[in-house]
Amino acid sequence: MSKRLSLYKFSDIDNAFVGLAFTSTNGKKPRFNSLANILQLLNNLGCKAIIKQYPVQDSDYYAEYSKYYSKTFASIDKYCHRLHFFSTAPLDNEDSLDYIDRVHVDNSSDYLGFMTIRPIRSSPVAATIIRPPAGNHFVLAHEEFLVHLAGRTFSIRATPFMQQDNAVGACAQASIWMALRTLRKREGNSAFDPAQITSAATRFLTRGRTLPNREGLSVEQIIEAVRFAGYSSHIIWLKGHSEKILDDALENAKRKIYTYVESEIPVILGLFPPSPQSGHAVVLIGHGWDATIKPNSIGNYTMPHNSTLNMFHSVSWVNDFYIHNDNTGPYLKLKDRSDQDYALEQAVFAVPLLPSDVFITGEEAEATSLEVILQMIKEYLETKSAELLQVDVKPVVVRTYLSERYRFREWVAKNASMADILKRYYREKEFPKRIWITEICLLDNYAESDKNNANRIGEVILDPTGEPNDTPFLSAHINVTALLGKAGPGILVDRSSSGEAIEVLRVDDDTVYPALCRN
Amino acid sequence: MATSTLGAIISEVLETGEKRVLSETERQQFYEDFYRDVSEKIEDIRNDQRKAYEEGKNLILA
Repeated sequence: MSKRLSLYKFSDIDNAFVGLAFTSTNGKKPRFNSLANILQLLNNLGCKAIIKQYPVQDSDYYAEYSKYYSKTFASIDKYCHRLHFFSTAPLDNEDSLDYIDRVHVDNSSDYLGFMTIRPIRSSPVAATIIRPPAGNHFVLAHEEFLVHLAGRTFSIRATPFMQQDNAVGACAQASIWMALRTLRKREGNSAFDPAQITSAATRFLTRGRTLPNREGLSVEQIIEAVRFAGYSSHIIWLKGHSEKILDDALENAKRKIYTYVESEIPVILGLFPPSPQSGHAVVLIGHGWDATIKPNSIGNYTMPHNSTLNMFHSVSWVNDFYIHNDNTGPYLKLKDRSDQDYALEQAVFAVPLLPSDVFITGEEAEATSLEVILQMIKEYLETKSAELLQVDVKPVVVRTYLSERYRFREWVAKNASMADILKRYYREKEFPKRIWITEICLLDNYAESDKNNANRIGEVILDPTGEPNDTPFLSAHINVTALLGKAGPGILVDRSSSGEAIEVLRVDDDTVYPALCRN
Repeated sequence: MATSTLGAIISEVLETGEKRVLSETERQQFYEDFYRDVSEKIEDIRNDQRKAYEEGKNLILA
């Protein structure tokens, strides 16, 4: 009886692959960037052991095989290898099953994830789910996956990764696959295999051969595949194709896509580097944070009594975004600018996988909420006498994200600092399934919001199914006295979902409370 | 950004602590003020959107 599982030590990157799968590198570093970077990631995560599984009938590769590889004259295996990675060191001569049982009982969190190796020499990395690296960054588009291995179940929170096979799909299909697979559990929508993505994208518009598909996909085909999978076919323009983007425009582009990244939505980014001329798709899944960055103001608004409100945006502290790049690997930094590598400055458009029941886009939500915030602050200051405005209006920072209603309520229920009246209001208020939230924080300490040190003074909550021009906010709360550096009441404006009733309430003993922090 | 009736209501509520429901006239005024301030920004965003569809549709990612 042949054994389906084998245990290997992971001692160094250069030799990690020897004897593991058909892609044996004979002691040399793998020539595939994705593979090399995954091995580097595993090394950084403290990988000590690999359980090799063979044969594995991987559903995604099997679909590629059925559609294409089964028709080739050359014999190509229909099975994959799957490598499971652990940070528990194996004992000498330890049996695979004994090792799995021991890790499961003693420390199941030592499971680091798995990589599927498809039997295609030029593009071996198929469905791969590996834990993100540690560090001062936020991988937000991710999901918890249960992995069943020899009767034991391990859990891992990660963002799925795959390399294009360059026959059934190119980078665009791989990026769509990664985005769909990340959202499948959360949204309950289709998570197509690469062959289905190519079919969906080329249903109505073909620009050449669909199999093998070496030409990639056009933007129209990408958004058709996204729409067919159940998401909104929303596309965001970032700059002209060969236009050099200036710093202000780049900051603006970052702000547009950051809203979706903060909403835990994967964003397909179309990059057009100077060379080669063709574009390349990557998936944005998170962002870094640098507390030392000096933020740029997004507006210095004239307020009553010769005062001003200086407003900043949370994206100012985002130094890099994090991407899955099918041809170089998972969890990689995407810098703003680079002469050597892919960079955000090359991004022409973005396609966030916005749920189809969200009618207000991130850009519209933020514009609408900022108007509500400015109006409330202005109206409040209007009522103050000039004498009371000896204290400057404190600068604020805004951040907008889409949240599920239950997660917002969970956050409220756990929030120990929020005024009780406000907590009760938010926990009982009728909200739709999802809500756009624009939070307002004081600039003081905001750079350390990654350590949960931000001082939040309010939020505007929008109905994402509303019409932006029709004031679709459901709640707007601002601790207006904290804006003047004082303690005192805040204001809550409640609007019914129909818009037929608007009520203004005083929030006694209003407080400042931490901003949402997901590290 | 124009002055609306909201300021007076906020002031009143902060002063008295009593919640205040906007009358129909006040509500309409509030919506009108808001529409005037926000509609241009939303139109700009939608123009960018149209540009994205128009200029981006033929770009190829491979």
